[in-house]
Amino acid sequence: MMSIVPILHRLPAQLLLPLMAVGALGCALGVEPGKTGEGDFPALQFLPVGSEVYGISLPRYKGAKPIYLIKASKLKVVSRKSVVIEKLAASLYGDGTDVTSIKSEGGKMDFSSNRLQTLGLTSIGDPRFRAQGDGVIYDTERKRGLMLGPVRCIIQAKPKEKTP
Amino acid sequence: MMSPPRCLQFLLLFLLLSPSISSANIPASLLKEEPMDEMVRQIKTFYEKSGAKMRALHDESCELLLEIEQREEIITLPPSDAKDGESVIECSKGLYFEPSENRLSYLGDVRLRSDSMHVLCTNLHLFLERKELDKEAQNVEQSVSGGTPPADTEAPEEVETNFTRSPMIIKAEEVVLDLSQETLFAEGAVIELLHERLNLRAQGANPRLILLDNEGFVCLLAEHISGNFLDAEGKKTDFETQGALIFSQQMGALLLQKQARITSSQVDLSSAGSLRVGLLASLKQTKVAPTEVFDRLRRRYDRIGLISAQDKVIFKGKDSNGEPILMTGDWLCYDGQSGAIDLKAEQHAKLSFAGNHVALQRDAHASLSPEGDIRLRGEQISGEYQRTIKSDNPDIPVREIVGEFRSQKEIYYHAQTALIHFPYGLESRDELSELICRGKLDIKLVASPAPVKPVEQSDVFRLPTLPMTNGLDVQSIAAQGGVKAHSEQSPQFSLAGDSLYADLLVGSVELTSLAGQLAHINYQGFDIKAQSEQRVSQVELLPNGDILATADQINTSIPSKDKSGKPQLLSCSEGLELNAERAELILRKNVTMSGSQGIFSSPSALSLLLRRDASKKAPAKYPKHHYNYVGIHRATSPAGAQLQSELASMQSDGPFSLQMCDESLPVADQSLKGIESATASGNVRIAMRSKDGGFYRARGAHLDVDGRSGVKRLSGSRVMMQDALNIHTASGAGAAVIVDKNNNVRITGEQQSTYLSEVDKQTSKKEKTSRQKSKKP
Repeated sequence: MMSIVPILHRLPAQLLLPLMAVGALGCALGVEPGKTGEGDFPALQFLPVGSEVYGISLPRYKGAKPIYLIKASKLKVVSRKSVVIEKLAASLYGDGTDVTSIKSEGGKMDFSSNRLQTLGLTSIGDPRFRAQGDGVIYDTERKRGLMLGPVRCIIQAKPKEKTP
Repeated sequence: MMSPPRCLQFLLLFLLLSPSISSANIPASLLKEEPMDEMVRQIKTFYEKSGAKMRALHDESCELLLEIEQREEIITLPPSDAKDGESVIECSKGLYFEPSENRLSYLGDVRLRSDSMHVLCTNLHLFLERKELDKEAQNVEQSVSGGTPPADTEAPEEVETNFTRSPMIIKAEEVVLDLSQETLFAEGAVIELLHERLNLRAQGANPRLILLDNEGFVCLLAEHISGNFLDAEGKKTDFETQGALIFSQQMGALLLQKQARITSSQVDLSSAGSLRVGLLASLKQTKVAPTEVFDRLRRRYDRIGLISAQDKVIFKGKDSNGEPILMTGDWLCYDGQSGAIDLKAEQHAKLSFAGNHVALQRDAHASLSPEGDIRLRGEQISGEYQRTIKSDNPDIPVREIVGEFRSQKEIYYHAQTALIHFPYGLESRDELSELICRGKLDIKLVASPAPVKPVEQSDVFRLPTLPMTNGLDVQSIAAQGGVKAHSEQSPQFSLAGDSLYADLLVGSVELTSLAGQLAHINYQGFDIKAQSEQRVSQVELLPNGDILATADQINTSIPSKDKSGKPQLLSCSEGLELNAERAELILRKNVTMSGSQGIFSSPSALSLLLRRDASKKAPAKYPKHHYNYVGIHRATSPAGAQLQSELASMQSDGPFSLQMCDESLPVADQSLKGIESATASGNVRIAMRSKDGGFYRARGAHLDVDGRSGVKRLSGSRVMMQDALNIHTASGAGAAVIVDKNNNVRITGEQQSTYLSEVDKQTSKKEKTSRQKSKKP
């Protein structure tokens, strides 16, 4: 069987995104789109190791509920379980409607450990705070992360009733 | 993060309100209770539960940190883009974040800066407000932007409020900050909290800090807590305690749990139990718009208001005159704004000021009011007093002497009237004086010559006003019931009676006694005793030196200069008057006067002109009280007199006059020694001892006695003289019985008659006498 990997090797992200969505949807419906090992990111079955993708979005759902969406200007598949990302912008969805975002010049995502790691100056945005630091490690499964120091965090001021 | 127990708020409220009822009578049972201990126990339980979570948070945060690979180089953060009202938190190691749990943990050298608070710590665990709250906040924001602007934006910059621009600074190791609960917990070997004017430091075994903004509540738990408060003028008050310190920002109260002490330049207050401090805000302060974090804790206080302390309380301070005050007891409340102090004790309380020491026993209560009033209560009240002794002699220096006193139940000093009130009597004595009163006693002190120094409002504490520090110069004494007093100080006096009023400024004394009781006064040697069986007796000393006495029986004495040294003793009924200026003593009725020469008595009044001793000086304080009397110069009686001596006697029912002279002058008749002249009128009768041991008796209408010549002349229209056997009468012109200095009698008169009895016996006796004379060579 002819592999589609050479074809996908340099695909623009606009074509890749529907494929990834189908892959993700397939996962959500319990349909096995192809052979993916435990800890593999489903969409990576379409991307051969070593392939690079530009302008890519990596969404992750749990059921119908989004867990995160990682957007990258460039993604390189290091293995079936990890990718290296340039110009990273991740949206981390919580229980409510608010989204916490992580932005960085670069990083990597390990799908087996569900760990997103950014390098260099990284910023976190949240309706309640924003922070800057020297990289982030974020566990997408446990929804917790660590921004490396030095860190500067700004807590948003909230409008408040007048103190009696 | 758990919320603070609700009952904490009630306990806190109780603790804060309790000082405000200090002026009321607090039952002794309350003094035993320790509501603060119960509150601290609950705080500790609350903290232990939260503290366990804090430790878990720390472990979780470090878990990820350990996985981080060693970095080759660390970036430099771009400049902060924080806007007004936003809080900035920086840390060195990392930020653990769990947005779904609303949690951020800052690790390593954390610095939090907001308008209201700065936190410096090793690790900070921050709980963000829940998203539901955020939505509400957004709604508020939207409504604000679309509708009426909030009042804050309209307010002028300078308005009357009590917020400060300075943030609260907290230094610790582990800090948990819950923005939704507005709660902060901290731990560390040393915890410091620096507020606008309040600096706190906790150290020792495991110090902990709880800060509840909604309650306006700060609590430090530590082995040793110290701190200070700077008032609006920058004057510092230090304090320290063990166990717990609670600061209620909303109520302006500082609570120290035990072994507490508060010191300033003027006050040192310590207690084995709790100590509560009430802070006061000034009226005009700069308003700052409330910010997100901990804005309620930005209330600013300018002065210390009320302090109350419990259990083995020691208060050292100075009064408004700078004199030291020492108070000890079980419970003390001090109003730093007014200067009022309340001290209570179940068993023993002590108060010392201006050299005076007071000990109160059982149910003791001492109260110093802002006006300078002092109220002392206790079953037994005793102590020492100090007073200044000024001698009449300017060469003798002024000295202080210490006396002791004893009273019971209550002593009250009213500053405005300078009156000390002893409702249940007093016993006081020192080396120069004694005063005992079994009933009510009022002592009015001489008012302060200089007005009490006004206390500036800017002082850290307003101190008690104690005019008594000017000394115990007494202005007046009013005593009722069993009064006894004496003084060795000039003017010397002693007195005893049932009721006394003495005005020491003008020099007047009113001494009274009930029926059957003696009123006795001895003033500079002038001694008066007055007593009545059925009525009140009274002795009065007037400012001009006059003395009045009213009683059924009055006894007095006048010093004499005769060889015997015995004073002239006088007694009378009805009344006695002494005119000090004229040295005239008037005895109203039934007078008896006894001296070395005999006894004088008169049923009517007797006026005595007294002789003065020029060598005896008047007291400097009361120059008119010059009782330098030594004997009698002249005595007059309007109706009736009786004289009795060893050698002669006289009775008359008309006017009587006696002129005395110096006893040192030679006299012809020793029986008339000291008598210059005497006259008696009416029905005059005299009796004299004859040479043979018998008596002559004579009657007449007028008696003249010349002390120098020793001649006694009894005259009248009809005079009579008799001895044991004979009666001689004379009448008509020149009728008189004349007795010379040797008691030889001569009878004159136009008509004379003699009645002889037992002539033979007289004749034989005469012959026998003449024969004996003839036998003599």
